[in-house]
Amino acid sequence: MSRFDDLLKAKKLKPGEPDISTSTALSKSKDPNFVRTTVYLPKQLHRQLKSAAAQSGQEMSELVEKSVTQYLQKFNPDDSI
Amino acid sequence: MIVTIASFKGGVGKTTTALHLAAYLQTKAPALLVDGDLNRSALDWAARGSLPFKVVDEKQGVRYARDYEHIVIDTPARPTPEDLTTLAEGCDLLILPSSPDAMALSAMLQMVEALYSLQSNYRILLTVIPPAPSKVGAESRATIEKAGLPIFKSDIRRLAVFQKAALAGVPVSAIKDPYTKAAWGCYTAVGKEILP
Repeated sequence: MSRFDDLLKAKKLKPGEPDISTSTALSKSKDPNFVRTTVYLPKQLHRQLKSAAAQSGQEMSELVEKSVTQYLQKFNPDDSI
Repeated sequence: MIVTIASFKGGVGKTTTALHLAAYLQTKAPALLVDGDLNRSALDWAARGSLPFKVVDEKQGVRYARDYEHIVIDTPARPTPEDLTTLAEGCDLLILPSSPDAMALSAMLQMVEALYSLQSNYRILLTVIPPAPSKVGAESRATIEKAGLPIFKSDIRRLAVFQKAALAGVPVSAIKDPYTKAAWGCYTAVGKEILP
């Protein structure tokens, strides 16, 4: 992904044409397959999670989703998740 | 037409080239200069005075690009590999300016190497060429031509009027100076090689 991708795409549009949508994926807040939930984490762990997300370029949601999935598989190997 | 100016080294006349080619192309059809350099040198140049064409950054460019026939893109001195790939393959002509000194030439050759695996139409432009009796300009040209690399027939001379123009925020053609004609002539010659 480059800073210039959208610019070069936009040059191909005709004058007066509407904007290109930069992202077609539905955001999780609008996706009916996701729910928003609240959990309490120790401050330090929350900070670590945030930093890990930033370093790996992923969302905190994604990291939590992966960890919880792994946890559940480990402790309830019979359940299909 | 999309023209991109790129070099791994700074101070080789990248912004000057972008700006004057935009000025040349503007004489043919509406031209837009996109300042993709995070130093925003071209935008600064435009802010100091007045340029005969529109200057925007790469984000604003998305909105304006469709309304202009020609787009000239000025890039940062160290483009990321992603930026280089996108621009090299997405533009009609990639111009690699280089002054005739060892460091600039070697940086330019590094870029030629980086472009080797990409689908790119590029051409080298020799800039900041010192006046006679110095022969470095001709010598550099001979070396590049011998290596079989694509190069513009015209060079850009090292003239103080370019600095004056940058300071005043206008293209050289708008400066009153004995060397105005020579300086602007350099870029119109290059412009004619791109779009006669």
